[in-house]
Amino acid sequence: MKGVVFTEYLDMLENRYGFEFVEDLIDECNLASGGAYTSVGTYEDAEMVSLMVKTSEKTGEAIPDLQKAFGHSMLQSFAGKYGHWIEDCKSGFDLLTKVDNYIHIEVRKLYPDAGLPKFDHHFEDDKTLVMLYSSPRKLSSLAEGLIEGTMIAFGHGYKIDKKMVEADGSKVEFTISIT
Amino acid sequence: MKEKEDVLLRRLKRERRAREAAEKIIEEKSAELYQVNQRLQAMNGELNKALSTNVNKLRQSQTENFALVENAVIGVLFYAEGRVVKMNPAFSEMLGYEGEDLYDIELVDFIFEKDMPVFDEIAVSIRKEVPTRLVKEIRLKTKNGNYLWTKVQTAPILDDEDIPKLHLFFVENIQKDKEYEAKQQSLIGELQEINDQLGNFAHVVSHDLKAPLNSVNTLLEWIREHHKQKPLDAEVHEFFELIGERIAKMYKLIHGVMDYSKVARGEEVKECFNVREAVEEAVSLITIPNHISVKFKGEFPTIHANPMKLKQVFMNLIDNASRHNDKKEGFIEIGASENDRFWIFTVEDNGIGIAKRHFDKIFKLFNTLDTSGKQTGIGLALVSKVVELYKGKVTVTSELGVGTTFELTLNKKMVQKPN
Repeated sequence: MKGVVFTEYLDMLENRYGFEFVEDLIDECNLASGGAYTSVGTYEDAEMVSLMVKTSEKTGEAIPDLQKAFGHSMLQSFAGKYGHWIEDCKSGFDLLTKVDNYIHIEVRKLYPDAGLPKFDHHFEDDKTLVMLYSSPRKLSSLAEGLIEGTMIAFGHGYKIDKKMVEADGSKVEFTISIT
Repeated sequence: MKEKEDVLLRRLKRERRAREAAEKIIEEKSAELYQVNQRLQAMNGELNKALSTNVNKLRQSQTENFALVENAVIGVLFYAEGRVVKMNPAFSEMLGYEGEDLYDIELVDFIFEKDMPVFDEIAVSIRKEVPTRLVKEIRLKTKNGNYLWTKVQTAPILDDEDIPKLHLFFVENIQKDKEYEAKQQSLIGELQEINDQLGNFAHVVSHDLKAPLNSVNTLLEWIREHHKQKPLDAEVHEFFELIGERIAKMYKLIHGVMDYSKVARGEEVKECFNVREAVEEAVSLITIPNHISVKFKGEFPTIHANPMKLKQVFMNLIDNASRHNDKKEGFIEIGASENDRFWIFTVEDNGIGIAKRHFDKIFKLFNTLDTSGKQTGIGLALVSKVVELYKGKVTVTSELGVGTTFELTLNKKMVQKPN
């Protein structure tokens, strides 16, 4: 998993609970990398799992909720760092459909080894987009958070239906409607 | 407080490790980038080299093409949208504008007025969207106000859609050719006239000579008649005989000249006939001495020609052969053969032969090797004249004391029946 996901996650935790919480968390997780994450590096998926499980333990927040919150925070952070992404897009749907067709292609150019999730999509109608999330990492709630974050960033009123395609959460269908 | 310091210290260490890791990754990436960059530079160098080689080649071929046009002996014009956009020095030189700038000229200004219709034809053809080539002879005005005969050849240069975007004009100076042609025409005309006059002259002269000869002959008969009762003495009688012989020769001469002039005037009555039959007829008209036999050899063709002339030819040759044979058992063999283009006939004898130095002379008019004064020297001249009519040749081979062979050829095309 790309280092940027880890640094974004730790940034969110630090904003929420302060740096002492973060350092304790890292300590308690006993990570192979020692938590010395850099956005240009690549780390084991298991480290993210440990971090999230431990965070949930410490704060009592359910992991899906945590993921969703992380999605919101990551999108906000990205919108700040890569503002032109948002500016170049006419709508939230525009950005979402670009993820698979454009953004991930560009990412792969820089990091050929990146294990990216897949986002197949189609439009049900002008106001309804169906996205199929597939990833062995089963971070569908993070995806949901990112989708929500996107709709908020563009100021859309929205409704999201989530349907498990695979019971283990490796394939999830989101039906996003602009209201 | 101490606890917070510890945490901060841990954070510091972690951040530092992260920075070091990032630096390492970035260094690796930089090294990778550097290498890729090196490879790109090398590739770029090669590309540039290839490009410059190609550019050089292109320049060279341009220079060569340019030189080709510039140094061409014939005039070359580039013609686009009704204007001459480029010309080579040969063209301006041709029109007397040596070394002068003639760019952006209207070609129409250079056309000799009488040839405007020809130019219009050219102009129409190059305006078409279909590529056309044209070759026209046209007079161009030169700087000093004369005109020059030229042969203009147009060739379209096509664009990607096969539509002519430019026309090349190749202009060749054919003034000399035209002058020669005109000279030749007038010479042929003159020749024709002289020939006609000559033919008429020969005919008239012969005819006019015959009349007084007739009178002399008649007068001689009268004198003989007159002296029937009173015989002349031997000497006078002999003179009379001589006068008679000379008159006969004179007749022969006159007839010969008349025949010859008929051949020259080419009065053609052609029909199909078998050459062997014609030769046999000719033989029947000649008194051939008993000691000479006549033989035939080969397949004789049927040809389309004037049978009288052919008969005359064989009569002359066979008559000659029969006259000059000193052998006990003489022969005359008439042969026929052919090759791709010619029918070949031979008249061979085992007579006295002809010396090599006379070979040319014998075919000339009024030339005879006969010293008795009986021969006119017209026969072989007539033979070669007739053979020439049919685009053939007469040749002679001979050995003194052994015999003579005349070979005559007739061009097959000239004696075949037209369809």
